Amino acid sequence: MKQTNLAMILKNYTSGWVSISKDYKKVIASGRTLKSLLQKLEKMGKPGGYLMKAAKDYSGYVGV
Amino acid sequence: MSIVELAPLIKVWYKPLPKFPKIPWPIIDIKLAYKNKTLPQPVFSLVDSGANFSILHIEIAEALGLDLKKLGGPKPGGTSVSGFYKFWELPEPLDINIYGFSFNFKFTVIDNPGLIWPCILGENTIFEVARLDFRKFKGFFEILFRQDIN
Repeated sequence: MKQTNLAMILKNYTSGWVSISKDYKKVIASGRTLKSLLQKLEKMGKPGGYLMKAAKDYSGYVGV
Repeated sequence: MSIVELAPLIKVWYKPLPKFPKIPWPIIDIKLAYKNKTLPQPVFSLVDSGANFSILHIEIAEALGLDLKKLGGPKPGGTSVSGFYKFWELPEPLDINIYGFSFNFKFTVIDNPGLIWPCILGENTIFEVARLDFRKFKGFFEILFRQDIN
């Protein structure tokens, strides 16, 4: 597996959902909701990538 | 005690996230499907040994075609270290593919649209089907899937 710095890629996204490119280098689309993001991806011809939630701060999470 | 055969290890690097990039997270990408619906891209999922069960974000569940209203109102789940929560337990397992290994896993959907993870894999899923060796001090962890069930 390749090393990935999501901190760099996601730094300008603080809410909603993003699609990260297959090479982990950039955000290829984003949306306020997952539904709107998936609609954008559909219009873009279903590019490969990864779905992720954007957040201002991930450090607040502790196990359920 | 019987010996469980394990598949060759898969090495995954911890991933830094914004705000506190020096605290990297054990995140893997997984493919999710339910019945005839598949998400168009894999989803980043947190691997969390501290989670008793596995969680899907409510928007992921809806994108997979799950109608949570049909399941009734969310049940009170009690108190976690994150506070009080309500949840839906999905009646059927989802199809999940992790780096080429396929499973059917049961998920819980937490009634919290603000959940910051699309998916959390806890003790009742990935930890049942694989050995996980966390080597945070080296910046990676290893997944060795069980051969007897995969």
